[in-house]
Amino acid sequence: MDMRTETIRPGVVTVVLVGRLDVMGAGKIDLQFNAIAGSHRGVIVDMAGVEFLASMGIRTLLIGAKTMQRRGGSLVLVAPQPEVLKVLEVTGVLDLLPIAASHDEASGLVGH
Amino acid sequence: MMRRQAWSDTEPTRSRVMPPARDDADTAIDLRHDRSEMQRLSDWIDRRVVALALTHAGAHAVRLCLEEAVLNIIMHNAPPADPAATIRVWLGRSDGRLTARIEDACAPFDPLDVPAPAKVENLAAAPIGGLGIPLMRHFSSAMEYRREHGMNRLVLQFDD
Repeated sequence: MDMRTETIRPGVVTVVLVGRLDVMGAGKIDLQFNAIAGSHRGVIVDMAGVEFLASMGIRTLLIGAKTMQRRGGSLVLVAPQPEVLKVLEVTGVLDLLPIAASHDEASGLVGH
Repeated sequence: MMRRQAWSDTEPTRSRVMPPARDDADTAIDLRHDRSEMQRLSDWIDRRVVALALTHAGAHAVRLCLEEAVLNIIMHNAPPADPAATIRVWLGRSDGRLTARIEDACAPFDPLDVPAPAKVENLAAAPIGGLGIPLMRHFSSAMEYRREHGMNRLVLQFDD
């Protein structure tokens, strides 16, 4: 699992994830991801490069989203692959986190 | 839809539940009760996916269910009394069906007894965790559990 960030505007960042977001992948990014969630009011998570999502990866996303929500911010997922989208649907995450088809749409959903 | 099935034979032997490797010594893997073993499991799944020529969807379902099942054992069930005891995972075709079998010597735990999680209305109320078994139920076509000879034995079948 690789992770890189791109600042969109002050307080808003895109996090690009590439690889498998399973127990190993989540363990690799947890600290940095949580630090980003705790220091921005908007986080756009680019999921297009995530080929596999397991429960520990969902845990990482939910913890980050909860952290942001408590601080008045928001976390948006962008462009998940079909299998990853199915995992999000089965686990009910689709009802909890906004999903955007594009970065433009996601940018409009996070705080200004 | 999850199905809980009984074995047709009266007293299954170990070879019925977990066939030993024959020409392919890589059909099963023994894992220590340690989270660091998940990488070895992942690498083994990669090899089995190729050896069994699984479809993309089949490979995804197998990976998800095996990783969730083994991680559940390691994280939520106390290690077995015998420190040498391992978690054994087998993946292959049984009676023409893509099948995985997971055995461990931990305390009895039947994942089929775990109730489905309640629907969560909002992010603030969402629990962290408890998603592994619902994923296994959804992405396998059948699940069977037996407690035999001091072992948990979970069998998963997949459409592929």
